[in-house]
Amino acid sequence: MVRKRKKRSKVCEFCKNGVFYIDYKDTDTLSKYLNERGKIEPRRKTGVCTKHQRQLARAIKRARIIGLLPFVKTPVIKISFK
Amino acid sequence: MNEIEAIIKNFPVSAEEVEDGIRAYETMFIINSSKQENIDRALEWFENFLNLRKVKVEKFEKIGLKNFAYPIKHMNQGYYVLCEFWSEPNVPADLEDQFKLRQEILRFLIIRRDDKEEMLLNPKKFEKKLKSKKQKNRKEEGEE
Repeated sequence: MVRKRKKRSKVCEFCKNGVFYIDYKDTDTLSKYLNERGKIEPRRKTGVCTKHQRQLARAIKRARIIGLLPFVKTPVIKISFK
Repeated sequence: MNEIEAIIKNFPVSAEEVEDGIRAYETMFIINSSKQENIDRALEWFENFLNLRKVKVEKFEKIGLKNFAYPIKHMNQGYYVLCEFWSEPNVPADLEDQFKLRQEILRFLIIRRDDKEEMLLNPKKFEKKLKSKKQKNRKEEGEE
């Protein structure tokens, strides 16, 4: 028998903190929602609600235009030589 | 005094002016920092523009030299300027035209801040939201 894994309910961080407007200048919070390649993380991974995900995506795109966040980022690969 | 009233107090316009057609905007632009005279010239022009068009400035900040996340026009850093203002809708359109003509400006962004307008027009809506969120948070903390 396959045991069902219990899903932990995720809470939107922005809803929790009562955020009305996601600022594109606040790169520290925005970069939390980017993966190592600089792509926007999907809602199912981060738990952000639909409304805030829309605002978040817009803010990230604005930050990219003005040069605060990268469009693409190459992940650092560690190679050990033995 | 609650949080939202405190925010609204900082706005240089009243709710009646917003109903008449004044809108909230925000602009950020990057000046080519290879020469100091570039920065001086651009800043002087921008301040002149604001005075000429009688724009109501809420916040004017010279952020200063900052590194880019990726090279822009073969440069790695530039001088950032941020300005939040309230004006009629034709002002940002003119500003965009002038930004395009100026060679010392590497990149610019002009956005509308309709959330601020809404906050001015019906602050009660935001107050309600804040209250319900605070109550929810308290409940969650209590459960934990």
